[in-house]
Amino acid sequence: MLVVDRVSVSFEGVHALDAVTLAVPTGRTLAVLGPSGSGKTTLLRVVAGLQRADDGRIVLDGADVTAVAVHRRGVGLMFQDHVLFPHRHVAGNVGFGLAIAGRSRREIDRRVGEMLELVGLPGTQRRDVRTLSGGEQQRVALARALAPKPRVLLLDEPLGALDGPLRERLLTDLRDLFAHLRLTVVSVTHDVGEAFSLGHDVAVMRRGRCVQTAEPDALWRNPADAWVARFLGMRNVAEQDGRARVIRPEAVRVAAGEGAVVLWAERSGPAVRMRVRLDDGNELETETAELDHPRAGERVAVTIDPAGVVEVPSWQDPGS
Amino acid sequence: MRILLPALRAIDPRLREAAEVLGAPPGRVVREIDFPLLLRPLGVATGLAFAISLGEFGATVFLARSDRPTLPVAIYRFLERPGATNQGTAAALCVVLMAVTALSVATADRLTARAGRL
Repeated sequence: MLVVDRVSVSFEGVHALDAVTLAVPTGRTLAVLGPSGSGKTTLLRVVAGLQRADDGRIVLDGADVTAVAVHRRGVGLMFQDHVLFPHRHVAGNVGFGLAIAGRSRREIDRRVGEMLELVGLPGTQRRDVRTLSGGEQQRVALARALAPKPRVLLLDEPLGALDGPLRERLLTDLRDLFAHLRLTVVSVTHDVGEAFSLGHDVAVMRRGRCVQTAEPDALWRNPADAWVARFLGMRNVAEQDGRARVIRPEAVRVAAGEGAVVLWAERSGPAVRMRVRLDDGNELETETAELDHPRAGERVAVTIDPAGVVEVPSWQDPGS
Repeated sequence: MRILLPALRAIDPRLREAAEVLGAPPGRVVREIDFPLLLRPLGVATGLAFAISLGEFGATVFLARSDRPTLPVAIYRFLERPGATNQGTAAALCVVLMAVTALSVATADRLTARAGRL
């Protein structure tokens, strides 16, 4: 179990982390979601020990490790762009932690083989890491982080550099792997889809603060404020007098009829996103999975499921 | 030194961090990361330094003892004397100098490239 207890870090007077508190029970994955500059990478660096916390504690399996040096912490960290050792081949990278720990040659070879098998790269021990593709490098970086059996695994934008089907595949592989090994994981990302599919819990960060921590469904159902709702991708956020009315896209249903006009309809992956203007002037966004969806300019009837409407506080960016 | 300093700075600091997180204390980081990554530039630096010293003339012509001339000094002496044989010897020594220089740079380069691969 990893506990981050009111950790603060500031760089030249600016709070990068402001009293952040998080808990990750053993065997669970916490996805830390936030825009760039929200402090998520700093959070990982503090947990790994690469960045000193100005205040607060890091507790790992009941022991306060705040003052423990990086190399004694026993955490695994996967950097955003792999950071493999260019002067070592694949096995030299994966076995690095074990070699440092003074394990025997035989034990290292066995464990390296196991790890490469686990990440789907069996038999690549002698390959030069510089000849690997981006996805393969990421897998080697993962194997390297996992080989010394870390107590907690930290991932910085694990799929950041990848795209398309490769991204999807690695995402599924990661999830299966974490479940299989019962790993305690903190994964940092700016991508909502990635956070939802990887994390048992999702912590939303904004300007060095942890705004909300919840399971994906709960987060989607009840975003903490208008900013969180927008960041999660909700477009129907109407703010008035410090309150905001959020209508989740799946609660807006469009059918043949009268009462609104479709402004545009565009496909994004499996769903089609539509924006409609009601005759009272309000605009709403919705999604449908139907192939036979209304086109731009068509008139439609719009119904709103009251269960999909939430009232939340609005949020003003103090910096703007 | 000229060649090594930028090389030392060019090592991605995150490589050191990656090693630290994997359990390497500071001394091990230098041994496992900085040193191997510097081997190649170090070899190149050695090769170049050797090649430059081989060709050095201005200072050596004053300092070298006459019974043990360096290659460039010997070439100079042969060139100074008249006669086709001496000119020929000088030319031959030039070829030797070129060959040794090329060989030293190539060897340093080859050795360090291999060491760099582990």
